[in-house]
Amino acid sequence: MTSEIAIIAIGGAGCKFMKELTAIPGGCNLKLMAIDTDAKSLFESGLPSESTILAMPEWTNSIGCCGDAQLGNRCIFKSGDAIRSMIRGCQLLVIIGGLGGGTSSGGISPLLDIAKKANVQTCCILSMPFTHESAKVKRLADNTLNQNVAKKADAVIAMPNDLLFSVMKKDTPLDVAFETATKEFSRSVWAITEVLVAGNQLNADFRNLRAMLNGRISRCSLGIGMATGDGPGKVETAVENLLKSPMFGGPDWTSRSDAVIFTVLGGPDLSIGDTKLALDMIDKFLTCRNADMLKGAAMIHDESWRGRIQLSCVSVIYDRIASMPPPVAPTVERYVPIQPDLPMININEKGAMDGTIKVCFKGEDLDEPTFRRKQIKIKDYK
Amino acid sequence: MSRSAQIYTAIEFGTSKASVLVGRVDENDAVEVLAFETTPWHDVVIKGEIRDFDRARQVIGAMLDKIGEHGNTCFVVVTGCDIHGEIGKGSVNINRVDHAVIESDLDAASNQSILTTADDRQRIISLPARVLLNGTLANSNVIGLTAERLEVHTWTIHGNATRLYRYKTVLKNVGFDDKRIFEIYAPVADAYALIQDDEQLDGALLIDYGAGCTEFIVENRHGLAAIGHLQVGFEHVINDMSVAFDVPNKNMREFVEAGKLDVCYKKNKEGVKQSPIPYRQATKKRKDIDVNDMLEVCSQRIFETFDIVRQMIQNQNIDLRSVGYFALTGGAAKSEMVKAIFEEVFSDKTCHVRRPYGMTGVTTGIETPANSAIYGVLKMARGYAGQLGISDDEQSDKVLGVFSTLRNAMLSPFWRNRK
Repeated sequence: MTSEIAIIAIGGAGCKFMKELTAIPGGCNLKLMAIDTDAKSLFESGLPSESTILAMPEWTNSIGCCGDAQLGNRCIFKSGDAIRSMIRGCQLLVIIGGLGGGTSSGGISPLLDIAKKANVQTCCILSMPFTHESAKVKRLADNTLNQNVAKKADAVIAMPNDLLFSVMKKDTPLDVAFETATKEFSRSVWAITEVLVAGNQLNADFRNLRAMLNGRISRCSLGIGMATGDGPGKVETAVENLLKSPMFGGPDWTSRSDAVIFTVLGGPDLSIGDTKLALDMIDKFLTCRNADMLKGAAMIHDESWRGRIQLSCVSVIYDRIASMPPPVAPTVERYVPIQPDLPMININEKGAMDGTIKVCFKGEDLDEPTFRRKQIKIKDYK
Repeated sequence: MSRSAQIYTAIEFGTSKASVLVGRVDENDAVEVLAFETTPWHDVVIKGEIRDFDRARQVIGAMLDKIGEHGNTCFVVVTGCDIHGEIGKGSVNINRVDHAVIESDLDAASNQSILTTADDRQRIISLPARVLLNGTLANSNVIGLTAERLEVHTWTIHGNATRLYRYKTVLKNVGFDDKRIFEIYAPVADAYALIQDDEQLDGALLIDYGAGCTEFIVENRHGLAAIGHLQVGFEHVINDMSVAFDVPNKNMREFVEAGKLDVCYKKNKEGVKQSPIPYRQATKKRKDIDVNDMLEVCSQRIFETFDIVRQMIQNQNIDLRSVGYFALTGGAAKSEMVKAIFEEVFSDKTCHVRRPYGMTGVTTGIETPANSAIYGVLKMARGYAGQLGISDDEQSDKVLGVFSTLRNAMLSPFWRNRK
């Protein structure tokens, strides 16, 4: 088992992904862990209890945060010692979860901080809620990704569940949609970790992944194509499976990609011919002509991989507003008034109410002083 | 006090203080106070949500130790925690020959009307809203009246289970059994303590303006008409002043608690010219705070709070013109300024400031508006426990709410007077 790379699941969705991950035939050879505030969810992750952390059961009665991200944040923060001891010895921590829930959205930030302090690199593979989930869940997921995860993690692969709409029919029942999302996401995690582990050491792929994804807000899709057997047609089958992959997003997504990371993995019998064929075929089928393409291939020296080929393709769309360079203000001659300006007041100052549960009414944050929101003029007392 | 009185404990985790009230309550809800302890605190509970468990446990534990004997059953005032009420509807067709309404009809309809809640929600209490006979609102006891269809509307008050559980966590840590801790929503307790039957018949609105939250309840002859809370309280007024004048919250709080804000208000109302209020912090220059600025900052916040509560009540389909009695309680109700703004927001209706009354025993310190909720909880304790079938020896995890068990309870004399 490779102890340098570990996967930790956070939150209820993360535990579901972990359950699917452990059920994949051939399994995962990495160190697996899970952390949540819901005891039932941890139990159902399929991991032994020594690989799980139930965060602050006395605060949540072990039934979870019920969407309260602040509570999730505090529970994970308070469990720092247990997390540190679990990730000791890791060089790369792959964090999997679903943003939008309380534990994952609130807890991922302290988890990333703990990993950073322990000099452990982090790669977050996160699912983003369906568009039709509540606006509050979506907002929480987006804010967590944009304001915390993108800034703290070394690499972030955020996959919107909506990618499944490229393959699911409109009349697909909701529970089937969620189940499909869970299964496909888990397969994606497995595929990426196989890429990261290939050769049983950190290879160039993570550095390149990191270079493409570090510090940038993006959404990703992930296609996986696998095929086994001897003889011709194996590569074509794998490419076909990749293009049909539910989390790949279809041509609609790939045509808008800004960057693509494509990897070929095979066993001891992986030939140069198969590799070239796979790379040529993907060039032909991917419609994102202007994207940055990063291609790689690796051989896994494990007999269980003989006759097997796996293609994985991460397709990245950067957030347009966050990715654009800041506009340069045109130089204009300033009019210098005779009287000096009044000092600027920090309009976001909430005093002692800062950091407390937000109270909003008709779009107004009631914790901000009323006189400020109503723009009532008083003297400056600073 | 009758010989069948039992001892109960009421506990309140307020934003500005924690309180424990122990008393005997008899079958007529008469309260004999055996002990009352209160400890000021800050940053332990904010907007009705417990943030510092350790301190909460320490303070409540110390007060219980000081009190000594306090009974096994504890009732705790709860607010915040995403608590809100929804009305459920239940109905039965009365097919008997005489079409007379009997108790089992009422029970069947009310059982249907109690809403089930999701796994992450905890039902706190169910209360009667109204009864309709053949689609028409009933104004009196319906037993014996004739109708083909009986409809019962019942409020189910529920909150976020995890956030509510925090109260139980602290109380379990100080020695109460999980199954003998009962939550009571603050405005329900306020109403039980302070609104008289005849006031209710006219339609009564009660607002509890506390430090962390502002709760409201509207009752009428049919039952509970509106209920809710806003997680904005008088601490927000203090915070606004602190931000406006760059003075620590602690100092502004002391200024207000010493009654100086009200003095400024009264003088301003009388047209007396007032000098600026001097303030000097150790390392900074002295500054003079203009009284008009201070009153403006406070009044803006207080006005906004009451105005939002008014809108929340109207959003529950209440026409305030149908309310005959307006009452105010809570720690902030002691202030003349608050009372005046209340009357301004509610169209110059007379504001009756209400405080706990009618108890015997150790009453020192209880009879202030700040203690309305905790007193109401204790007053309700006996009836509430009785309806749940709890005695000192028994344990129960029931929730009060089935219609027939409400006949001696809570809000509407309509139900209290049922034969």
